[in-house]
Amino acid sequence: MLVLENVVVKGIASSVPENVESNREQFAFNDGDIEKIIASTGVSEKRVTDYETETSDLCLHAAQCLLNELGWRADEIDALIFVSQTPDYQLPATSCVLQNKLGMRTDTLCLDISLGCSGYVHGLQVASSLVSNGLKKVILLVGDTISKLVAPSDRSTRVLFGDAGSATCLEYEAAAKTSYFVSGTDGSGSQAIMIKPNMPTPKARGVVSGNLVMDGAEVFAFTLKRIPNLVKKALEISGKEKDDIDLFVFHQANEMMLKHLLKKCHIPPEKFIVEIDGVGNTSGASIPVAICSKQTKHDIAAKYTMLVGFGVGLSWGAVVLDFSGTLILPLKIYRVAENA
Amino acid sequence: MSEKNVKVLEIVCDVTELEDLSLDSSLDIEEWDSLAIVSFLSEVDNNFEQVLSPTDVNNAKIVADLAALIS
Repeated sequence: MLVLENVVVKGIASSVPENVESNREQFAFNDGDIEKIIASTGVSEKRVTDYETETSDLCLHAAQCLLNELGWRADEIDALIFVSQTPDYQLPATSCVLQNKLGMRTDTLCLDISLGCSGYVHGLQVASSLVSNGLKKVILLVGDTISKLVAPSDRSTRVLFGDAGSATCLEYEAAAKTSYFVSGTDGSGSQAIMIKPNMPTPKARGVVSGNLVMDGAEVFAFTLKRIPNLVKKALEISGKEKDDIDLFVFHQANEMMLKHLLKKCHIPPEKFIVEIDGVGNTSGASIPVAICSKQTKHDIAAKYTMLVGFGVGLSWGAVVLDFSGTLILPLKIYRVAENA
Repeated sequence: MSEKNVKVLEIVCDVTELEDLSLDSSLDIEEWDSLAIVSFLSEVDNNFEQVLSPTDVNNAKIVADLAALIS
């Protein structure tokens, strides 16, 4: 666990592609089954990129919207952390490319972290650590374009995953409320969500790859075993009760899992965000996308918030932090023609 | 039939949407697919507060084998 002082999350923005993919239209050959899958996953539609749009494009769009709203200049940022499992390139690091595209100074730390579903919380821990230890302004970009890695005919993955990019700005503030982080990793479950070798290779640019395969039952069992205890631990180290937390945002894995966790963790439903339909499971970006999606519908007035990420690795983490000073932008749409 | 067995049979019927199953029914059926298995894991946790191993569930041949996994 990690307890960090002097960090405030100044703002969050998320961008999704303009292209909407309907699961009913995609899998129209078997109506009965697709309705069952939609009922279980909660995803009737999701957003997917075209071939040309990269993860960095979505993150860059979110970042530019956020910097503009916060009144931050890119040359004020001291570090950029990019979290993704679908980077633009095998090398160089996509964070370096983004440094240039954003117009950041060259005396900055920019690095990529390869994580998926737990990526936002773990990325936040890394970014917060930098700020807590003296960097004034840090930007965390978390995104994935998983649609490039799912086989079109694989209903277990094709119906679920959407694409998104997010930006979170963090700033040093001496009077900021404390953030509390809990982390976990179990590599014995690494095969539960994997891109396996010797699978047909999609045209993921620059990266020799295969298609994503997921053992839904193993992932579900892992979640049930780990996440309730993670929530308990996060409350314990923060010294908070559930009543003290205004908002719980979990990785938007699928609706059935979220509803099960809601019940198992005894979280009041009005404090729990489920925002997966229309965007899909957007991997590491799902937490900020859910927050921004909710903001699109009505103002989130949250003080203490718990964020819980879990999945591929297997990896998991939670953070209890203060959102009262956080600007949350409504969900943004990335339009290719406007960004060419 | 024990209460546990009654409940397990009820859950399997529910997740497969089949009505005429018994404890001796084979699980080598189309309806016992990945979605049914995940739903089964969820309902077992809801009703018995036990997280079953997916490997054990996948190895079950008949409904009674599933009931035997629950303590």
